[in-house]
Parts: sequence; C-alpha cells; structure tokens
Amino acid sequence: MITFDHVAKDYPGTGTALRDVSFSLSAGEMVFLTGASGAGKSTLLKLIATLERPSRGQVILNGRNISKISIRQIPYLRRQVGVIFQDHHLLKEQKVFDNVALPLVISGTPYREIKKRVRAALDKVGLLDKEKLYPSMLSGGEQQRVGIARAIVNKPSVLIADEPTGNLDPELSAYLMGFFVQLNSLGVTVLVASHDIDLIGGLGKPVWRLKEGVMSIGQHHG
Amino acid sequence: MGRRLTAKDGIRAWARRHGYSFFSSIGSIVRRPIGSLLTVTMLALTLTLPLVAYQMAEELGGITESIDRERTLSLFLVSDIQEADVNRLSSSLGAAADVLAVDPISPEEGLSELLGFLGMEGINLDGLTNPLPWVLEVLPSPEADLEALILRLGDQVEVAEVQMDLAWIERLDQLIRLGYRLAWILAGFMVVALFVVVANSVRFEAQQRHQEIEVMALVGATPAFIRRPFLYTGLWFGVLSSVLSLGLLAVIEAILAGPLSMLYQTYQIGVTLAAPQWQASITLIIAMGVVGILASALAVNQQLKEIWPAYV
Repeated sequence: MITFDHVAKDYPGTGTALRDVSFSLSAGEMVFLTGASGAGKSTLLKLIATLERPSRGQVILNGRNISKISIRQIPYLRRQVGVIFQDHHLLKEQKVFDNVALPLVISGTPYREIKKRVRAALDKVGLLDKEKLYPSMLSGGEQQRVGIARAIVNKPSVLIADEPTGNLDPELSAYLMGFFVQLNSLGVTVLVASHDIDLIGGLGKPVWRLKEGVMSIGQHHG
Repeated sequence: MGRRLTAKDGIRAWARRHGYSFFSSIGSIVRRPIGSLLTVTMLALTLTLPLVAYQMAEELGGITESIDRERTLSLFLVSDIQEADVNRLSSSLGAAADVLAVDPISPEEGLSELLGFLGMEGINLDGLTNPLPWVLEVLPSPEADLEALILRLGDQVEVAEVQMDLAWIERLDQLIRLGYRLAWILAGFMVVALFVVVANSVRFEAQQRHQEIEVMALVGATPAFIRRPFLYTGLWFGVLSSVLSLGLLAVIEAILAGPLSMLYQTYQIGVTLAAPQWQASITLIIAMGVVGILASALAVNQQLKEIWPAYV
C-alpha cells in the first residue's frame, strides 16, 4: 500500500528532515509513528499526502511512484488519502456540513449522495447534531472530529493523521485513537503520528520510531 | 473507488463541479456587496467614457451623412449685375459637363429665405436697401473635380466669390474622425483599467481565501477547480460593469436627446437618435467578460504559485 525506499528529504536552509527511511505498510495495516518533535514525523506524512516531494529515494502509494508522478495527477492521488492534521484545517466561514462535504464537492459527487455520506461520516464521529454549526462554535475536540469526518467521507483507502490528539485531554485522545483502530478494523490502512507513547503503546499496534531522520521499525508495544 | 466511471458520469460530475464554482463565485460577490458594487461602478464609469465618445461621433457622423449628398457651391456675383446677364451666365455654366444644375437666387429671394431662417418673416423692411447680391447655386456632378471647378468659376468676371457652402462639413468630418480616435484611445485605457482592477480585486480575494485554497488543495482539488470560482468572479465584473455602463449610456443619451434634436433641426434634418445597437452591446459585454476572465486567471495563478510552489 505504502512503500518508502531509501527516502530522504532536505529542506533548503533548515537541513535534513529525513535521512534514509525505508519501510512498507501493507493494505489494511495500522502503524503508529512516534519520535521527538523535529524527528521528521510530519515530513514523512507530508510525503505520503503528496504535499512534499522526496529529495532522494522513492515513495510508492497504491503501486504508483509518487516521486515521479506528474503534477496533474497529484489532486487525484490526494483523494485516495485521508489526511488529519493537528490544527484540523477547517474552513471558518463554512458550516460543519460543508466542511465535511468539501472532498465530495471537489470530486463532483451528486448532492443527494453528498448529503447521505456527510451525515454518515458525522454520525461516525458523533457530531450529527452539529452539522449546521460553524467550526468556531465547537470545542477543540469537536473540531478535530469534524476534520476526521472530512478525512473519511471520501472512503479513502489510506488514512494518515499528524498528532490528531495533540491538543486534546487524555479521555478524548483515547476515544479518538480507539476510533482509528475501529476504522482500521474496517479495512482502512492507518498511519498515525503521535508522541503520546503511553496512549499508543496500549493499543496493540506496531509503533515505529523516527530519530534524527532515521526510522527504526519492529518495536511492538503491548 | 472501485466503480468504473462512464463518460456520462464524468460529464455529470463536471457539470456539478461547474455548478459549485458558479454559485460559489456569486456567493463571494454577494458576501462583499459594497466592495463588489464599488468595483463594478468604478469599472462602469470608466467604460462609459469611451462609449459616450464613440456614440457622439456616431451621432455627428449621422448629420454629415445626411447632408453630404447635397454638397453645393455658392457663386456670389458682382453687385451691379443685371438679371439678363445672370440668366445667361447660369445657362452657360449649366451646360458644362461637371455641373449638374445651376439655380439662380435673386437678392429678394435670398433676403426672404434669410429672414425665414432667422424667424423674422413679415418684418417690415421698407426703405432699406437689400445688401444681398445675386447668387448662383451650383450643384457639381458627382465626378466633378471640385478644385478645378472652383478655380474655373472664380475666373468668371461676373463672379465675386465662390464659396463651398458645406466646407464646415469637411471640418466636422475631421472632428468626427478625431472623436472616433479619441474613443478608441479611451477604450484602450478602459481595457487596461478593467484588467488591472479585476486582477487586483481577484488577487485580494484570493489572498483573503488563502486558507480555503490551501485546504481545497489538500483534499484533492485540482488547480482548475480552485481557479474556476475566481474566473467566474472576473467574468461577473466584466459583464456587470459593461451592462451597467450601457445603462449609463442610455441615460446620458436620454438626457442629450432634447438638445441633439434641436441641433438636428437647425440643420433641417430629422435624424433620430441611434437605435440601441444590440449586436455592438452584446459584443461589448462578451469582450469585457473575456477581459475579466483573463485578468482573474493571471491574478489567481500568481496566488496559486505562492500557495503551492511545488505543485503548480
């Protein structure tokens, strides 16, 4: 599903974010990615979401080499990956419903189906009664769940999340992580970056560690 | 994702995306009603200037066209000439190949015509001497070499002065040509103004919606999809401002209609105001719409490059 082959990423000025990373994540797998801040977690996720291109090496997603893909194909590739950010990236001027509907609007889905799928996604994250509110009227945890609903509304085959529980209290964090595990049990490939070792260690999924741009794989907590 | 899309599905999806862009562009204009109104009004005023200049040139052109055909020469004869000599001269001139007709006007006829023109008919002029000379109105044939004819007529001993009655028309023609040229120059300015103003306001809007554009790109919107609402906004600016300026032009014409018809009456022609030129109006609206689209395309591309350096 996702393969990194000796991937490196340099940023001009700030130096090397990823030194030499190789791994393979099969379809339906779920992995946690941890490491100190600045270890390269966000960069790795951005490479999968085609928000960045690798400086060296190859990133392969669903059998396609992202490093070599043409610019025109990138939007279509992004639709196959649900992305959840710590600062959820919601549109302040649009209601919860329209925020979640955005990926479907972009792909030209009929309105009736948009309605059905947005409601289903909001129902999954427990926010069905908030669809007419604006993001600013919601709590931080609720906003994050709207971001998750938007990431899953398109039924992507891959879900990546960058510190999704970064700003949330432990109880809510545990609920969200449990939700990702549940999605994974439905067949979605999930990669979650988090520094909350205590939380992710107890979920029975592999934890990969990034340190100074190098990955160490195989640690299995719990 | 597994479902195979048919061409029909593709066209429907395309239409739905266009519908979204269409309404989203209207939404962005309606959301900032005052800003949009100011922009459109300013553009409309800029656009009205060349339109008025052009329309005035057209109106004046109408006058000269209706008079052109009756271009005549007036021969003012020497003051002591006798009627018999006038008639002889008249028939000898009328026989020339480059002259179609000669019409003698006696001083008395001339005077009453003049009084009629001044609205002083019936005034008592008894005891005054008529200062007007005999006049021969010469209508040259269309092929006549006017300059040679004028020289030849001026050489006659009985002729005191040759006047091309409608020399003023030549001058008016020059003025009209000037008017057209001015209209085109103003039109050029106007196109540049439209381009600059639309590009600037679209750039401003794209900057304001920076975050929205980023998020759309993030969830897989194509650059074309992101660009489209802005292109529609540019189209609206071009179309609305040209429609408004055509409205303004109609108002200006209505205001000028009275004085213009008075002016026409003094030339004894019944030119009515130019009818609305649908074809020209529609061409203008389409052209301004296209300029609006081009301007916003330039602005939004610039913005997309800033937001998305790696991928646009």
